[in-house]
Amino acid sequence: MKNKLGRIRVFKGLYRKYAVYFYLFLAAALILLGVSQHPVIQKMRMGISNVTSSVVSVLYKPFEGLGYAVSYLGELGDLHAENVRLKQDNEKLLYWVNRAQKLKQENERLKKELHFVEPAGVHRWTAYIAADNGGSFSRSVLVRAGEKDGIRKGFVALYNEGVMGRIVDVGTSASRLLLLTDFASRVPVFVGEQRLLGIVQGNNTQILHLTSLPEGAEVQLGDYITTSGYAGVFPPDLPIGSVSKISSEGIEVLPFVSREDTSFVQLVDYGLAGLLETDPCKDEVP
Amino acid sequence: MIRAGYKAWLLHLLKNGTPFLVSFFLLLIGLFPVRVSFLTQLHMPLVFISLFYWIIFRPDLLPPVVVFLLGVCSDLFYQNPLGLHAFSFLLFYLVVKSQRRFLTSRSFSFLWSAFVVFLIPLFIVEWLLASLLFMHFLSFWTMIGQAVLVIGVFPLVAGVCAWLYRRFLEVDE
Repeated sequence: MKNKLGRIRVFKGLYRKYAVYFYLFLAAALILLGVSQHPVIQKMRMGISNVTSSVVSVLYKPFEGLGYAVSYLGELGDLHAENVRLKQDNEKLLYWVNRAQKLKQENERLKKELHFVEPAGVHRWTAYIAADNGGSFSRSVLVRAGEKDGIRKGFVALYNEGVMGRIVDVGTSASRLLLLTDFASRVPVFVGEQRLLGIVQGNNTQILHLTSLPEGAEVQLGDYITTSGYAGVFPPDLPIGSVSKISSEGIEVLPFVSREDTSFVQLVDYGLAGLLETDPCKDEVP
Repeated sequence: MIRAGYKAWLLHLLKNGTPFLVSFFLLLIGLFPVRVSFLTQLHMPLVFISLFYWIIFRPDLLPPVVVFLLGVCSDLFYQNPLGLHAFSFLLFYLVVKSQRRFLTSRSFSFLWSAFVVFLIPLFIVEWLLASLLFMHFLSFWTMIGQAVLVIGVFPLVAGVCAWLYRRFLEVDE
């Protein structure tokens, strides 16, 4: 008995002395396990996200007013600059309203002449952003709509018809929306009126990078970037942003939609969800 | 009688759980969907302030297993590579605890400076580790921006921790 107690005491002493190293080792082991991207880890993350999105929704309520106040004060600072920008935007918009009306009429006429068949309508859901779960190394948000609401992996998130990202994980009552600005986000796009092919990728900042352009491609400041529809994750011609900087380091794109623009998103089912999970090699195996 | 005992036990649990509860709450605060431009771009890991404070003043209430669990929670909440924050929190624990005796009797501004000295290298290690895991250098300036924000908010969060310490936990030591 005395021996047993002594052994326990020694074990306790050793644990106390080396516990931190033991857990450091465990954390390193977890890192290696995480690299494997095991589906169990993803499931665990989504299960936790379901709970945290509900908890954060409740906890955030009392702070919501404070959040609006901070955002309002921030806007007050550059009120004059914003006013100037809005006046310029208004002039441009008036021009584009006239142009759009003419193009619309022309488009309708051409459709009639060609006997064009309209594509089937898409389903839309509106969900509010419950939590910003993008940390230091990712950019994503949790939306308060999940499997039970009909949300599926691959749905496209829009705000004011501009692309915000896509749903990458779906839980029972919450889903994770990967923003375009996330480091892991890669979207095949068309650039400008010439519809050059390229890829827009995030790097965890507010700006996107335009890469993989054809050799000798001439890109201009302000060129409009839209989804190309290649790879089957996004449908073609959804607005993403415009070219904001061209330098020796690369081409930057300013997205039309930023995370702070909205508390709500529209989740749209373009019927492309299945393509994300299909393994292209699978069908080739006899 | 039983009810009084239960109440005392609950109070004791709450009191001793303060460092964990504060740290956990700070983890949750980071998830708030605030629509402020710089806050949506720069995540503020406020939990480092709480860890720093409690490791210095009440390390007995924040043992390595709790620090590890907080790290795992942080990784799961924020979509970090699993184990990354668990590792960096424990590294932070190891370094701050080794200097604990030197820091306990110092002024608030000295603690603040010490926090800067400990935090910056830790963020760089974390950034290097994450870049290695993603096999791509992540934005260095985003990391610096986060560090500056956390350092800037230090007096506020550490002030709350200090108040809680004086109000509930100082007498126990």
